[in-house]
Amino acid sequence: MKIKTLFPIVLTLLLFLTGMGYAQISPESYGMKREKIQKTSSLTPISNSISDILTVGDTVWVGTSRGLSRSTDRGENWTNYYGTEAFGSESISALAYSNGVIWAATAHSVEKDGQSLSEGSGLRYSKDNGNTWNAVPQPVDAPGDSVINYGINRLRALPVTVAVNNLAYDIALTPGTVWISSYAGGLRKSTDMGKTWQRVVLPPDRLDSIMPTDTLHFALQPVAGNFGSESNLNHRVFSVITDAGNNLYAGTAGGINKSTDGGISWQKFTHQNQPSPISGNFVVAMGYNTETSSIWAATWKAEETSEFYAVSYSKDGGSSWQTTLEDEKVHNFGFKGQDVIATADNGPFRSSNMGQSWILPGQIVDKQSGISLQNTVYYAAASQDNTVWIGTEAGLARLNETGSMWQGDWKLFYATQPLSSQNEAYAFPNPFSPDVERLSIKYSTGGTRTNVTIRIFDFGMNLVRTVIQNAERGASFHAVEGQSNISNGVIDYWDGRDENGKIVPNGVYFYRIDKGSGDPVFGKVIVLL
Amino acid sequence: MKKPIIISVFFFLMASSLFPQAGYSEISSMPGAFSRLGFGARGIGMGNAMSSITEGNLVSYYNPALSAFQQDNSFAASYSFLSLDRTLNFLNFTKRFELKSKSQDTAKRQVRTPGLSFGIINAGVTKIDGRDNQGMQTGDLSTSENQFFLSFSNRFSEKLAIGLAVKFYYFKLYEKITTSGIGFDIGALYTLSGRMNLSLVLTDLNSKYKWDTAPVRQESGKTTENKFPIGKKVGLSYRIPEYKIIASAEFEGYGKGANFLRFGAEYNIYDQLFLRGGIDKLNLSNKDYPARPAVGFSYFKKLSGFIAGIDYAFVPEPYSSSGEHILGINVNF
Repeated sequence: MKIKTLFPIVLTLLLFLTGMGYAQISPESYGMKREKIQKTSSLTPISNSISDILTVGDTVWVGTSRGLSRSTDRGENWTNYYGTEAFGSESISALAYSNGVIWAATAHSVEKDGQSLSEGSGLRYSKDNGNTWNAVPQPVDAPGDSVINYGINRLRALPVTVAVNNLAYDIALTPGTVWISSYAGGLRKSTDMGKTWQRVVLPPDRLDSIMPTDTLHFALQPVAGNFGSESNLNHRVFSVITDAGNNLYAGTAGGINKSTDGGISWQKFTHQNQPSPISGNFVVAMGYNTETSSIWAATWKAEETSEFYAVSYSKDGGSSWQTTLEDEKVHNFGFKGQDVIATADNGPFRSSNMGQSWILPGQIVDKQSGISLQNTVYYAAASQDNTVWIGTEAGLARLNETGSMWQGDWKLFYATQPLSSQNEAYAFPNPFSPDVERLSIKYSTGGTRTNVTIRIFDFGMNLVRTVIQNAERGASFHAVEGQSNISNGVIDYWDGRDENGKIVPNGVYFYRIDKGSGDPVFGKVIVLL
Repeated sequence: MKKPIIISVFFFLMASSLFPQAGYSEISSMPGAFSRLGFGARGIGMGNAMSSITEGNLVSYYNPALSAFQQDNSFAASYSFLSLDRTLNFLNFTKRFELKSKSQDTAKRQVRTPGLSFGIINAGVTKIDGRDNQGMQTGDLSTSENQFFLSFSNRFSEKLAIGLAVKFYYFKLYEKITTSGIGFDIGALYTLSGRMNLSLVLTDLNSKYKWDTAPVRQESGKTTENKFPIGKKVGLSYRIPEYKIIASAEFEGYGKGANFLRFGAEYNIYDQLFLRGGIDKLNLSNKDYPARPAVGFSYFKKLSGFIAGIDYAFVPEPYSSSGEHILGINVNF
């Protein structure tokens, strides 16, 4: 073939390949850059991902994926600590309060070997209700910290020298001591406000109890590796609580450990070693209800087939357990008087009869804005008198309970980016997973009521779903920010399903919003199950 | 002879009546929508009713049996201008081999001509507004979805050709999240007469995407499998050489409320100028489903040793902000 013949072919190929270069552009960071914050809202927490809620008198503390938020007027106004010198861009993994001191544990995500892992970034505490904060670095061991003296024993202990997978999932406070359950970092305590930390020795998987006078041969080691072949699930600690008598309970991937002598001797409760046992040995959360003197544990299935997801509770300090709410994945507990609220994948289950029956609140709708809490995972609950707080990964909800259980007015605290104009629309989260969340489509009707149609299309602009058709929207109803103004956002939702109710395959979809007789507004979303 | 032009214009003017209320068919929420839009300016300009056409530049996308009918070598590339930051590009090479048969029978040697065709469809979406769960922007995202195909065909007799295409799909949807799959098309072409061809094609046998989103979703990640719909095509084309017209019709059935009729026509108006028109996706199962009329043209010029041409097609796209413009070039050598 002649050069002249080849030239147009090569040229065309080059042009074509230029058009093909649409590989994925990865966002530089999934954390919000501080300079991108356009509005540090005082009407909502800055993040909709709520990890923990703590109430102290009239103050509510909310741990979020964007740091700590505080309200002293039951949610009417919020102080957000994200971007402050004390908290930076860290997420909150745990909260605790005792005797005028509020503690917050922080963490963030890191990429390692292609995996996204959690890394602890320490603790912060405040003695003046959050006005000033003291920082405590994440406790790690020195490389030579390979021996622990425990009573008559010198035990080998794997030095946990990094903060990856070493973060405080829970904090417990006893007089003079701070306790943290730090997953791979194990259970640790500090008696000098976090200046120094000691590792707490828990029983290995093969022993149901330890005390200092025992002759022991094991390594304090959560995973096998170069240090040794021993791997103890019971040394991976996820939760820690204290009861009214200052007994300690540490929940691990290997069961629940109880200490009645300040964390020295431990007795272990597992699915296998009691006649009336916990449902599973993976204990992700625990709570103590002072009103009923009961211990509540989210006991997930661990290794054995006989284990199952459930809530396990004990009224006798762990000697025996009952299980309830079987097959539910519970993440945390909150209490309102004698009632226990178990926040789970499928809702905030609440029981007023010690787990014999559970009641869900039904659809949580903010009557003022018309916004409803979409299908989501529930992570936290707390109460203040007749106020109930529910924390989810899609916003914070407050109930002023005026009647029987779950009866009253809900308010949703839902942080969103304001619209820059009435012609703007956006959808979030993007990508979104219909399995666990709904897509919020935010747009403006210019502050007026108008008929709106929202449709979803595939790549070929074939109709996938009509989300709403000629539905009246606008003014204050379904408006997110304040009352009617031109950039006031309206939110509608797509559940990621087609007209037949089936979840659509992973891919890119297009939404089209028709508002009255105006030009349609388009947008694109990625479905990622 | 103005009829072809009139027909084309008629088809095009019908566009408004062909766009009823948006209708849903199950195929809309199945994977591979990009691969069902057609291939190149010529095919799309003829309403994608191409599975039985054996003249001009041929693409095995429509029927793996076609490559055995290609004259000379054909190279074609197309770029599409689509709304909403979508890209849709085509690249194709088709060649018929003149294998020397050991047979002394000249007639036999002529009919057993194998053909080869390979190509790429590259689609994607850019400027996708990444947002977190409170609507904060996380950055623009983009996707790349591709079909690579390679087909072989053979004329087993003067009348019958059969072909098989292997299709490889690759989809990069999000960081660390990709999938791929292999599927097959099987096609046959039967020459009913010197003017009329009949085609039978099965598309996307075994084509599917398997996803594993654990690298991004962590514990909530899951493995899913999405099968492409299998298409069953029957096509008929008719050539009127005295008027330099080729007309074709095609039925493609997917079930799932998506059974389509297609029509296309090409008129060699003079010298090397071809005009085209067609209607794609007249849905027999769902009258609300919008059909897609199309018009287009090609112009060829003989250069030293090869023939170069440009192709264009336009498809008014319902429910989008603008229509599709497909611009292509082709070289025969």
